[in-house]
Amino acid sequence: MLRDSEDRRALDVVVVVGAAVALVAGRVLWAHEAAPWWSPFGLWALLVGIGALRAFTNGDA
Amino acid sequence: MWWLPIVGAALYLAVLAWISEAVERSASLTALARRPIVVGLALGVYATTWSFHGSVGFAAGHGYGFLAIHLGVTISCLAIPLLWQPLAVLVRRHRLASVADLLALRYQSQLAGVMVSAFLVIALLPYLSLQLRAIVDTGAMLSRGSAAEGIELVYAAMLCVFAAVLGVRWADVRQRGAGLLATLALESIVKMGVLLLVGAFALVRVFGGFSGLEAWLAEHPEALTQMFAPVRGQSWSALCMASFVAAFLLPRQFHVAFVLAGEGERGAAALRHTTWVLPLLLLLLNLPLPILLWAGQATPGMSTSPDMWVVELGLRHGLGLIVFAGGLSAASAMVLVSSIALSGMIVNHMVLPLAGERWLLQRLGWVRRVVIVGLVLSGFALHLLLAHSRSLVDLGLVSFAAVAQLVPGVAGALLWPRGTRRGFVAGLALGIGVWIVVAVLPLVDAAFEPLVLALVGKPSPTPAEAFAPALWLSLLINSGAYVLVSLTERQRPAEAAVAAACVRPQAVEVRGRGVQVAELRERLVAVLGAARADLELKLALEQLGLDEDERRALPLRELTRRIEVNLAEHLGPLAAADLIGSSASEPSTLAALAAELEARPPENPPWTRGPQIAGLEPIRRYLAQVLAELPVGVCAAEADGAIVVWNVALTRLTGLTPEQVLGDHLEHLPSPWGGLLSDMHGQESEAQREYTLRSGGAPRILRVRKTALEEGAAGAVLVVEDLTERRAMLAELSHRDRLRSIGRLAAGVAHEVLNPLTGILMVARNVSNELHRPTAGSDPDLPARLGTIVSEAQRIERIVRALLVYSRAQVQPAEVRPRQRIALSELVDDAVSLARLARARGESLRFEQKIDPRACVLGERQGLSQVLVNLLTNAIDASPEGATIVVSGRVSADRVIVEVCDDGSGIPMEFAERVFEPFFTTKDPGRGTGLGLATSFRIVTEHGGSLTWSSRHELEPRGCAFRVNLPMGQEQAS
Repeated sequence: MLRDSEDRRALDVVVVVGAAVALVAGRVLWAHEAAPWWSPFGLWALLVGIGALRAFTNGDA
Repeated sequence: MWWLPIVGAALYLAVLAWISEAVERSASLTALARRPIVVGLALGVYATTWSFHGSVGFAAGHGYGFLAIHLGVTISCLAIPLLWQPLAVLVRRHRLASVADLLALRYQSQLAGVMVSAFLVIALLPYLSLQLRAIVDTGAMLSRGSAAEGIELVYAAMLCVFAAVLGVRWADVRQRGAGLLATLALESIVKMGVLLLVGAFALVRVFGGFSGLEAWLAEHPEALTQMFAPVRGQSWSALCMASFVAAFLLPRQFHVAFVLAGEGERGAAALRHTTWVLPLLLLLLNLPLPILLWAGQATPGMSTSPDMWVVELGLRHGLGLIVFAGGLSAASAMVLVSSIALSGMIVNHMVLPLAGERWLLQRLGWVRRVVIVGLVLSGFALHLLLAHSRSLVDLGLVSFAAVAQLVPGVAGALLWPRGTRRGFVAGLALGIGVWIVVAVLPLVDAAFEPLVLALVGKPSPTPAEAFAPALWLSLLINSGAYVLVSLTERQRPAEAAVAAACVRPQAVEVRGRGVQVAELRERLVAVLGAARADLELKLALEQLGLDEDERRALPLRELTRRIEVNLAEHLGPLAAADLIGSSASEPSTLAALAAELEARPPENPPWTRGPQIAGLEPIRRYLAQVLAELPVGVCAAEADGAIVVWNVALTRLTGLTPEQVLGDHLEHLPSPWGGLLSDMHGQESEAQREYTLRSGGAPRILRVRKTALEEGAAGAVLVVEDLTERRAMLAELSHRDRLRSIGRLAAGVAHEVLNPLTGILMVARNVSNELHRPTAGSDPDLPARLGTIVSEAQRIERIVRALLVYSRAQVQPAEVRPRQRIALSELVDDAVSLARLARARGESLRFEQKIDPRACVLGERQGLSQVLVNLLTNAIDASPEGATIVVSGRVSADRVIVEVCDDGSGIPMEFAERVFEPFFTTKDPGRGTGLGLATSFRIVTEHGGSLTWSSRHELEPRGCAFRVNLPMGQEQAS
């Protein structure tokens, strides 16, 4: 559990940058010809899960 | 059955309106609508008919590229703590109602507000018309094409009524409508549920389940290839970027996220949960879309364009009316919130500034109704004008590119305080220009397509392919112009102040002037009318817990600010500031700042965030401490008398604390300080006066000096000194000096008189002795007359010797005389013996001694003995025959108290003040010198003690008690 607001902010930045990288640069992986049809939705579900985790942990902090 | 969709639509919208009203009226439903996830669901208004119907068409042309317009939103939601929350704080703090309000406030420019409002209305009106078109098209499909002529008008009228009724219901931004939020959330759930239902039907009916879908995809690998390939194209990043921004800058998104979400912890919690609620909603909404696309491809004989495949597939599987309801929910929600948000912008930034008449301000509700209806009708008119050949995606992307033009300005507001009004206006104007040339004109006329060709590099690009260069180019030019122009000009003070407040929205605001309550009311009445003005004033006073007779600078500034903020909700920030007549950019008075410093904790004040200024803060505090602790009262006031400095000494002197007076005016201070200080403040540049205050107790003497401050801050410094004690001390010193002079004079006179007197006495005694031997012829009375000469000369000698003793003591410092520890009983015994010898009457009186054996004093034996002899001889002289004189001695703490009490004639009270004056006596002429008590008083004082007296009887001057208080003589350490 992160207690310091600076830590939380840093983690928020990391999450956003990481998600953007996964979405733009990472598309060579999840948008590959051999990927299953649901792979974009798999990535999307992962981002939803991260968002929920951040929402509930920030709320508790 | 052509009328069925119309009736269904009417029923659906009526039920929505009823639900929204029911939520407003029911406390339990309102509480339910206030739950944090409702805001996230309501933000699903992002998904319009473009998403509901157009995404399948988009997917048909751009594969999974359609996901970008929702995945960008997901990233934006993850950035809520970084971007949305600071923006929300800023919006709520200034009670802003739209992004136009925000930019007009940040850049202190009405032009910025007008530009943004007009641009967004123009850019989003096609998007609004797109919703109407989708409803009309789906309604026509449901009616199997029959009676389609003229049906548009019916749907337009329905949406007009719906938006006008519900939109006006929540047009007042003070009504943070739970009903509106509930309606939007419900509509999000409906459209998501409908898509999931239709997708599930298509999956089961067309493919026989997921395994069938996998098998179909295996048989048609090109279908999957077509889906993935566009994702790796150039437009993906641009679409993600545009949707990232649109998630919170589209007027409807801004309205839900920052205006409707609520304030404080509730609003923060709502945004926090939006981080996952909105992405989850969009995920579920998009999940069926590829299945629906493939189902359409797999279904032979599809008769419509992919934009309408959701409807056609729904119709084929008996879900036509449900799909129509889903599309209607997507369209109606968008029309409703967009019309509310855009109407606010139009009224605040276009109607009021252009026609800011008083009657208009007093009928704002009706103005908003007219604007909302006008917006919906304009959308309808545009729907009739626009070519039907344009796909939903074309119009949607144009609107997205438009909203992206606000990015530099908003980013500057949040992150870059150096940005200027001209920079923003120039950047926005150029961005709009590029947007028109590259995105709008090619849609309107094919003659402009070469422009797109030059940018994209290939003929007939798809809308998504043309979108990326249009977006990046417009953003590049917009941002570049914004930065370059901002850097080449000096920022106005007004802008700099607001810019700093925007970048640090949590900071305490220290700008703005306070206006007196009466003056505030006058300003409000002039524009709003008396009734509305009184309501606004009462509301703000209640919010701050103030009275109408408030005069302090800090609360008045807060009141002015609160009214301005309250009005900003209705009129926009600039119009509200103009109305109140106090710009936030206007610097605070020194007095208000001083009151601010006094009222708020000094730790980490907001104006010390810069490193250089932070370094000055300790110096400021040090100087403030020095000023506060000066031993003289210091008050500094501005030119109009507003108090800036009030130090500790002045607080002690007046009983008025800095919290009470800072920011107030000198003349408002309680008497006598108000009159005194304001009188001095009104004097010439340099002045000095003395005042004697006689308000109960002893009079106080004050000296007030005024020094005018000419440079920098105009005003004056008033230094107040309490001279009462100093004057008393000077009087005492002067008295002693006078006595010392008299002593010197007396010593000289006595010395000169005593020498010849001694000679005279000796001769007189010799002559008298010789005359005791009588001779013939001698005068028989001569010896008696000579005896008179001798006795009178002896009396003169006693007086002169007493005078000599007194004057010698005055001249000789007490410190040089040796001191010793003396038992009080010994001292008293000796004194009683001497007194008996000095006075013949002493034998007829009784002396009663009550001496504590522990009582010892430290002093000069001869002097102290003289004191007691003086007191005892006075008591003997005053006492009648046979009376008793009581001498008592006791120990009290480290003091010894000796009392000599008689029961004699006493001292009249009118002489009480003069008892210890030299040469003052109540004895008969010739019996007393008037120096005994004066000498005794001096000796006791020199011993660090005190000599006092009191009458033994309160009602009559009879009997005296003289009390000698001396320091205790301690045992010497051996």
